[in-house]
Amino acid sequence: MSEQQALSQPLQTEEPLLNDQEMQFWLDKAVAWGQADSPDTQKDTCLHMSRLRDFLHQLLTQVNSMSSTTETMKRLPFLGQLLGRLCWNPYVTVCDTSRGLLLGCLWGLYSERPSNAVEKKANQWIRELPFTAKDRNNGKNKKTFSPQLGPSGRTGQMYGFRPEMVCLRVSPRRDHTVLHYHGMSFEEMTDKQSMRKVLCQLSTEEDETAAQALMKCTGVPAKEYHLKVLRKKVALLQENVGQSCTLFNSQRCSCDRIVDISEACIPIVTCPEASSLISLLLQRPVACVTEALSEDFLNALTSAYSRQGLALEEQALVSLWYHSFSSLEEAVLSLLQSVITTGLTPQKLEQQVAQSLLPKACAQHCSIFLVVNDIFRSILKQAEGNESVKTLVQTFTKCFLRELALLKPQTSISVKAFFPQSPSSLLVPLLTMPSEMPQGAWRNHLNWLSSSLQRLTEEEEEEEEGDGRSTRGHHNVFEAWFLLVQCAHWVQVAVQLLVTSGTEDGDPFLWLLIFYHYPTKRWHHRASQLARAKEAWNHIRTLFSGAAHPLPSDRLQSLGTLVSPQPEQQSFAPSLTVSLLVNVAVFCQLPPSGSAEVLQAVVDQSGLLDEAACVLSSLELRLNEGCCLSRDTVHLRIKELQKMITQMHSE
Amino acid sequence: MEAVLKNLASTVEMLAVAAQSDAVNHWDKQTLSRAFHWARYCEHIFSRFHNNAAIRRIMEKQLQLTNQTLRDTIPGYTEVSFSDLPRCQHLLLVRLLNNPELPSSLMKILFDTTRPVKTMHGDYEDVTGLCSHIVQCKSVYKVLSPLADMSALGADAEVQGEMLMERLEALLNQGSETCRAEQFLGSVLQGCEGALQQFCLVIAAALLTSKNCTAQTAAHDFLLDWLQKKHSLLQYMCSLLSPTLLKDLAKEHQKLRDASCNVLKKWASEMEYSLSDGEWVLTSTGPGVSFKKLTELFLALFDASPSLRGDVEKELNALKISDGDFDVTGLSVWGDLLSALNM
Repeated sequence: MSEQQALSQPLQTEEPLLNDQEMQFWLDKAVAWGQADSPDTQKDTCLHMSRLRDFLHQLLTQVNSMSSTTETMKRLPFLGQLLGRLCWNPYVTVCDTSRGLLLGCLWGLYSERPSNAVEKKANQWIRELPFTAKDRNNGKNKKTFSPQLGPSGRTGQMYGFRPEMVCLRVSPRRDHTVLHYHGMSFEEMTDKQSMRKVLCQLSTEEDETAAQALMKCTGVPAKEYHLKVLRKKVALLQENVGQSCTLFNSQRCSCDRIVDISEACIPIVTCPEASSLISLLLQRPVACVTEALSEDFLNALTSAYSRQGLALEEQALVSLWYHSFSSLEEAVLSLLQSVITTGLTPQKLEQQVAQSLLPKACAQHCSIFLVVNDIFRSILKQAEGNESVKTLVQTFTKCFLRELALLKPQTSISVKAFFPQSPSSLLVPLLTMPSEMPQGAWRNHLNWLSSSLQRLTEEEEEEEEGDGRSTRGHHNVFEAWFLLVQCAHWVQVAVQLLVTSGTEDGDPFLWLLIFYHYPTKRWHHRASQLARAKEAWNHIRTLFSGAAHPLPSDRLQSLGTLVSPQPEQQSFAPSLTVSLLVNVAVFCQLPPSGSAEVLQAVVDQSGLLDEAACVLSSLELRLNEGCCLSRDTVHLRIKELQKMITQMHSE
Repeated sequence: MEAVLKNLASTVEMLAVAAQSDAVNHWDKQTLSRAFHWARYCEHIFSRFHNNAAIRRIMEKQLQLTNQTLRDTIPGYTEVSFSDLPRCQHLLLVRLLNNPELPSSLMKILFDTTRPVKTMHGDYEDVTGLCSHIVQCKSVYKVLSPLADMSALGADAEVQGEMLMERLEALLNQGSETCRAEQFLGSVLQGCEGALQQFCLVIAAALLTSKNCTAQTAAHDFLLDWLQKKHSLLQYMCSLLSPTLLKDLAKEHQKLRDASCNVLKKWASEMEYSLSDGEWVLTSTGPGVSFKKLTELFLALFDASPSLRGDVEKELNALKISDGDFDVTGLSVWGDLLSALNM
């Protein structure tokens, strides 16, 4: 033993060399796994799989860095034994990654042109290994091997006079076998043919005599047979899963078996043959108190899904989210990541949100919607000015409501259940879409909304003055604001109404807009923002009134300074200004070309081209969807503006 | 037809090369794909012509010739028969993997672990990862097989039973060539030497397949007749079956019900009372059961067919009377049997 230890002394290399302890650890593991087949062993194997993968990766790197097989065998004397045992462990071979790493190590040991006796024997070792491991898997102590294996004439040579082979063979005194092997030098048992033999056995040997006879007599090839048997087994297990919970006695119920099945599926979550079984497991109705799906199973699914190694059908995915909070969280965050990029048109955004299946899942399970909204809340609290997040929340809610309406006939859950924290008086008014009420009613509706929200903020401010530490008012205002973000279609209507109101009082609308963009600006801050908003609004109105021609440069300039970021003062919400701008451009009385000219000038000055394009797209989308009276002039103006923007983009 | 025969001969020659020649050293990915393509071709011509007796004979003749030539030139050559053709790709794979000259480049292709899309490499279907798939399939099954499921026979026995029935139905469908069907069953039995237990499970599974068509009924009938002719096999099967399984089988097949009833009665007649055990035991060699199991099996048969109960009761009674009609345990197996069966 010590000789081998001396041989495997670490050299001076930059990479951390695998130490003896690690190798011994894994060797012991491989031996233990091969000897027993109890549920505990299976569980242990599954728990160690990812660590084993990392270890195999390190091994592979090291094997590939060696210049010859001889060197490899000197440095890693137990490598052969380890690989051989692992080859026959179905938990290792079932996963594409670990199988690939294992084979990679084997290729590394294979010498195409063996330069010495050691290397000549190297592959034979690989070849010999399955003879012993094979028995172990069968549980029978086969003393002879099927003579079909191996080229004719060499069978006797296989286990006739190779003592190291004999000592590896499974005997009643298993541990003695292992110890005995350790005493042998590795070099004796290798040959070029060994690896080929292992691989031949792995893929073509049949454990069962009857299976082989039937295959031969019926002309069914092995590949087809094994696939059939696997599918049959999966179908039988699916029958098991499909059964509803039955009590055996007062303590145990049949859900125990389902837990076993779900745990057994952990190593095979990414295998397509198992996907129907896994789908069924996920969608099994939760009938009794016992947790039918193991935590490890759900975690395995989540990590496979995030690595994109999992193909789940829609309902199975929804069920996964329902069962596993972490998988839901991952899905939401990945949606966020994919949409918080510039250049996504509103249509594209809506498409992507719908495709993520999250709105559908939310409609089916109230709990999912609540979790998703909590995630949105926490993100908004950290970045309330982030327009793309706000737009996402609005689009998401829109898609969700659509899915909910599709489901509505079947469910009888009140809408309140989905929005438990929102102020109930505002819920229905805000959730109602503008298209669901006559256009003439919009003004009153918005006036009412604006004053309700104002009242809420005033309550909060009073509370703050009084107690200073009470947060209920603050909470109410936040929830009201969050609901407004979810239902931001009313904010868009407010802009439109403000722009088209003419001489009527637009203050409530302006207040609403300020509140939407600056929810936390309270007291005099809000008042000052309101004043600035009015100023910008005046500038814009004048620019588009058509009265001034050519465009007054001072107006342009002041608008420009108001919008662009200044070091001393915070820039006034560009998003608010842009939406005002675009809406005015669309609904003003100027001819389309004139309107486009003005907008171009402003955008030139302030550099908000992308934002303008975005607002224009969503305005067009809303007008098209909402079956508003299609005023031809409005649409002409939109077309003209779009043309202008495209032109500016290409410059 | 001539072209077909030529291709057949070339493919068989190719198999021989794959098995033993060092020419494989020079095979590349394209050659490999092409080889499998021709193997697939042979599978195809088998499925097209195996029902056509005339063409079949021509092909067998060709194979004979080719085998002869190869046998003369290559030492240790393994013949390819007509019935091997439907598994030609598998044969090719086995021969390649057993060829000591197989280069690692080909092994790497066959065991590639990336999931290949079914691409055409040039004109031929890609065989990259072929062995990898097989290994994975087997591994998934090994992972799932310890789990208890709804089957009394096991997934493998069920599939094997289906395979048996499919082939049997096809053979019987071809007209009155019952000798081929007999041959088929015989060769399966022979192939299962040393695994007789599994064979019995396969027969049970085959008899329990339920497609509800005339072809299957005919095949079942044929199988039952064949089974009845093999007394020792039938006896062995009865000794292996669980009462539940026997009940299911007896429910479907009256012939089997009657045949196994006879086996049970025969066992009973051969039993002797052992004073040391306080039980009736079978002293004859060969497969048998305990007295307890015997009663369980009888009860299973009655469960399957209530009318049988009455008939058997009459018979046993008559036998009991002929034994002296005593009600003391240990004197007449028939009497004890009657009381154990609650009759």
